[in-house]
Amino acid sequence: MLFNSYQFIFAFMPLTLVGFYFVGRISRGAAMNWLILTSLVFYASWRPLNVLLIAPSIIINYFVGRGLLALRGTDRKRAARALLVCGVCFNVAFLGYFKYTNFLLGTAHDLFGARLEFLQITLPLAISFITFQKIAFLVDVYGGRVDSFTLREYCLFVLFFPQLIAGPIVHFREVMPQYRAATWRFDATDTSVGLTLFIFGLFKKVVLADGLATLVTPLYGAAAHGTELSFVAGWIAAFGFTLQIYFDFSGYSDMAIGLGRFFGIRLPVNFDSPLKATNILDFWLHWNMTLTRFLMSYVYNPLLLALTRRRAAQGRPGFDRRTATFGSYASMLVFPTMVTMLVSGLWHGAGYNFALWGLVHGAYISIYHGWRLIRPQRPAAGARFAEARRALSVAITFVSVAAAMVLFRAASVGTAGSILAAMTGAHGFAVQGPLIQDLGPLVRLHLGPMGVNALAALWVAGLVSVVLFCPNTLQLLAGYEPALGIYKQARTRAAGAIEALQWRPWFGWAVATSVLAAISIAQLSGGSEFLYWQF
Amino acid sequence: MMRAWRTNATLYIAVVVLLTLAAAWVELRWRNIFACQASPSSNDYVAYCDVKHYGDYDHGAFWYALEPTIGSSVRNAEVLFLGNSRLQWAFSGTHTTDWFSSARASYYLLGFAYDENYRFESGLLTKFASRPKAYVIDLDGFFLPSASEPAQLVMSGGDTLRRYQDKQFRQRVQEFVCRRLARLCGHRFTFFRSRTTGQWARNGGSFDSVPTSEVETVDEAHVEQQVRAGAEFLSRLPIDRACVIFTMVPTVNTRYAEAAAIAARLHVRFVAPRLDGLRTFDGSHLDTLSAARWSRDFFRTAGPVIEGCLGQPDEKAARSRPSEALSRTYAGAQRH
Repeated sequence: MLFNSYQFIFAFMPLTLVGFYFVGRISRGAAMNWLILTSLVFYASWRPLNVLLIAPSIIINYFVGRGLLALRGTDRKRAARALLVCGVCFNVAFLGYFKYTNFLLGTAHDLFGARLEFLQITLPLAISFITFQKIAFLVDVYGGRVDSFTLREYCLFVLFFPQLIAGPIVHFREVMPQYRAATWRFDATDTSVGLTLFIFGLFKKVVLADGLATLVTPLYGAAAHGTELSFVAGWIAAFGFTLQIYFDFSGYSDMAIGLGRFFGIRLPVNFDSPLKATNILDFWLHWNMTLTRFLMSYVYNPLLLALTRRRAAQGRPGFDRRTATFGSYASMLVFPTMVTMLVSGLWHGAGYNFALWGLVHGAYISIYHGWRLIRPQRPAAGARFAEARRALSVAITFVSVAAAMVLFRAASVGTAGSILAAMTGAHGFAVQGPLIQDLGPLVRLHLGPMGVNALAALWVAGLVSVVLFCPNTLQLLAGYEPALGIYKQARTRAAGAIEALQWRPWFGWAVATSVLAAISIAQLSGGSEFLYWQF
Repeated sequence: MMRAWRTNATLYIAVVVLLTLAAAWVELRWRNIFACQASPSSNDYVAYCDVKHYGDYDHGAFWYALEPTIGSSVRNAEVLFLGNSRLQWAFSGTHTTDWFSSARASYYLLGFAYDENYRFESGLLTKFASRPKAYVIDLDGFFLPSASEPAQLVMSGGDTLRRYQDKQFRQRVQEFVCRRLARLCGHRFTFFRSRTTGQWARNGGSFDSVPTSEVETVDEAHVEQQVRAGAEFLSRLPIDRACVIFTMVPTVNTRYAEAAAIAARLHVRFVAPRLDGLRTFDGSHLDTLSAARWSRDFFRTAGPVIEGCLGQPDEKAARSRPSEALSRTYAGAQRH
């Protein structure tokens, strides 16, 4: 059951909310139990077996967490550390077995020619998100950032259905105080904010992202079947998919945050206009923000710390901008960045193209760091020049991200290579005749002199403008602090136009939101999958 | 101040929820399954509703076993009918039910719309581990190489299961509402499938009736291609070819000669009554009266063979050489 399904919108969500407000009047514990129960129903609706797979993992993590809590404040630090390592290893092994076994077998075959049989492994839904959240929890308990928790609280933390399937990845310490302080009653403000965010997210998913899918999918399909795309088609494929995945995943995050708000819970912001980024670091600080936060906290920083300690033990200085050498840059910046981004790539999917996508982003970030080290110190520029430089920075970042997204979307590295070659004009500039027949109706309409559909080009260009120049959904609702990390002050940072568009629960916005809901519902049956739901 | 604020938020929620529900109703009623009626029989489900946002449900219902008893019905059927929608309409009626109840045998019509063929249906036979004693196969493009679009979609996996589950959910709600308040639901063309026999029944829609006709030409390449696929398909059936009956349901431009050529090369019995005055209700499928006439004639010829395969009287007929039967039914076919 996806958020963008009739079952969810017209059955599961209303029943869950009505039940929640009803049992919320009985007691806080009953409300939490209700949320756990409905979350289990939600999770089991994909495949009941999922619950049986994930339940033991939850129980084991709970007891490891209890053990870490018991050992804290004692002098048994080594035992606590060993328990943490065991807990993390268990989670990594759990994820590794289900998600990466067949990938490793395939890699062994490709590298060494080993004839290994693939295993019939069914991936538990959302295992990547859940596993990362559980690892973060254990580290937080070990680090003293979690003071107490009960089994009920832990289950709710892991299973809370709005963020169960595709994030945001939350920390216990940022949601549990809210669970403990929540009134568990109907609150008109929370509900109106939640409803609006849910509808905005639904619109982004079923209208914008799925609409783009009809444009993009045939292009990638044709490339996978050996068709050489033209220059224009290659760029439409790259830009189109970048927009598709942005609207898809940020739409899902909006829905998740909106659903959380129905229950009075603010989930952390996960997307904050990443395509407006002026550099690649800026991009990652605004794209899948909770994953970036996890990777920084639990992969990059520990690795960097270990490398710094090692250098210190060898009597060498740590990395410093003023005294940086190529060697220190490579070992202290490039290496941990590449490792972190490789983990990020493989987290997104067990495949060579995902690994390569992560490495390409690692290279982007490393190059950006290098550029910051060697770039000349500029004198203060005039406002106009600063604006032009900013526009150029956004364009370079956007194009780099879009080019890398080809690796993410293509069926294989070879297909990605073919599309990337097309983007350089290696296969010509006009869309080939046979390919036109394979394209969706949106693309076939109004083919122009270069075989490019003016409507499709306009559609993509229009959406690029939307993501570059319009406020994002969370900014529109900033006055009501819709998510953790979005505060009322966000309004003041925004342009004057945003201020004028600020959402508030009045009739005009009610009609506008209803129109978006109506359009989304009309598209609900058309559907395509959430790109992130299998992670 | 706070009080007024709450009122606004509550009003906002009410307006958005009401307008959204209204939009959902308009969508469901005019572009989705509520544009179709529910079957009055609780044994039937909507296999197809002719609206933009519903369409086919049948393929997913079988491939993902979404309807509870169809798996056991197919598995337990003693006679399986395979083919497309023309086979379905030809054998959907009391004549088929009566024949099988008098023969005390179970059957299942496993044909599908969209000119479905062996690629999808052989997948279902494997899925359901069916062990029938006889097959009736409509040769009307059955051994052509590519499956229909819905079949390709469900067989490819991906997001399709979710989409069909969503259709299943909508159908359950529609059944509940439309059986009680039929006036709320529309009359777009719908066909229902019986979970126990696979028979179809239709509702709504308006079509132009067209008489059946024949095409005598034989495309050799076409025949050869289908013979190869047919031989492979037959080799995987768990029964003797003597208990496989090929047929050709009449339609507009019926390709009898081509079907007969395929049957002959595969050495399979071909029973295809050729009657005058048959009509289709829509330019493709036999209307109720024509289907009754044609299938009655079909069972008159094929019935003894089927009974023989079922281990009942006239086993002799079943054991007779297919080529002999062929000469009796097609080569010597006379117009009734």
